[in-house]
Amino acid sequence: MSHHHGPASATVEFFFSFRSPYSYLAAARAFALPQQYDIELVWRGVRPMAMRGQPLPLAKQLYILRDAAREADALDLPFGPMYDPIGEGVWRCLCVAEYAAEHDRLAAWVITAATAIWGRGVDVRRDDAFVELCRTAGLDSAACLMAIERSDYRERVECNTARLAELGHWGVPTFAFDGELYWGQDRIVDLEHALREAGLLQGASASPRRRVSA
Amino acid sequence: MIGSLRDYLKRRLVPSTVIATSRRRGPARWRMRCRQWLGQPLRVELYFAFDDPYAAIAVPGLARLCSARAVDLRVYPLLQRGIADDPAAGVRALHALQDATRLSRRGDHTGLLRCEPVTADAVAFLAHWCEALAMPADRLRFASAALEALWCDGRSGLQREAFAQLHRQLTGQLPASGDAQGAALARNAQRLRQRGHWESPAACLAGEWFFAHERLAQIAQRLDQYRVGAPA
Repeated sequence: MSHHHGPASATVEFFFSFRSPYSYLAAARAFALPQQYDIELVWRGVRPMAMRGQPLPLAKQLYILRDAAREADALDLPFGPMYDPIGEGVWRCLCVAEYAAEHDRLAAWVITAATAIWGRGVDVRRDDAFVELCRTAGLDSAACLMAIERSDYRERVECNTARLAELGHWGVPTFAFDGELYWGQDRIVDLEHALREAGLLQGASASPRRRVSA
Repeated sequence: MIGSLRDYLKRRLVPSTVIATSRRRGPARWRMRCRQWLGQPLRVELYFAFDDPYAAIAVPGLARLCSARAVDLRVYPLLQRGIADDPAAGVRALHALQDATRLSRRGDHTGLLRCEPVTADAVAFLAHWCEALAMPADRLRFASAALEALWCDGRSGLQREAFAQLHRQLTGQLPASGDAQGAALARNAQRLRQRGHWESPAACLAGEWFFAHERLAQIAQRLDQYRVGAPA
């Protein structure tokens, strides 16, 4: 399900989890990449580490929250209050992301939902709050409520999660480009360096193209 | 009812409170200023492992940053680090090497030249030698130079004699013999965990933790905020 305007020269896979604060901090910059570089950004929504057997000790959980708060402040993004979406909340957001990708609203949905979780403390398991977010992202809320039950969307998420493991990685946000992995919202600068080195920076005269696929 | 209250506390109240309190720097700022009024320099503690390529960025980088600000940097070598039974430990080590090379290239450095991960056992002697040095300044000098030689100098292997020579040049002493610092190194790891961190290279400033290899600019900013006379 590709939504691009002309073929791109290269692909960048974007592995994202709604339970990862760093994924949230990366989202807007990630979705802006195809406007600057001649790439297709391939969406890979994955299950969180805690939902695939990765240990997450308390010290690490605390560090992540505090460090993400510092980074969010530096990026001028809202951070806190938050509401941990682990479990059904994560699945809802991931399934709607697959639906949104089919309707060219992926970036709007991901940024809206992640900002609500990490910047406004919205419980995405609640139908009223969830429906409101879908509408804000320009999606049909009734269709979204049906999307969260679709097994093919859940299978796609499982494939994405397996793809991350196949590439030899475990964390998010991760970008895969040209055989290399870039892990972390603060590694986008290194990814951009590689994209420029590969001659993928679009010229000033080139019209920006929106290319995001799932 | 109790279940939903517990759910609310766990999912929203506790993590949101952690985030909110992490932004309150007032008490730490006063503690740091009191320290300076008493004539004590600001202090940063850095816990690191020689087998960690990120330490090759963190230790020399933090040493430069602290030296420029007359900040007391204490280094604590580690033999044990990380998360117990971490299934991703192997791939983590490989990724760290690639990522540390890119981070190193960001500055004016040429990047790391070592292509293979190093085991903790293979470089344990460096941790013992470093820990055995009595003077904090000697520890820092040796740690910094040994890490650069190990990770950034393509000519260096893992020969003890080459590092022993470096030790003699920097400290004027022979390296400690044997593995006598095991207990002290275990205490470093215990201190790291007790104070709230688990991994290398972890820098602690006024109770606030930073992964030093990727947060040098943020540490510098915080140090400047804590300086006496700096605007609040």
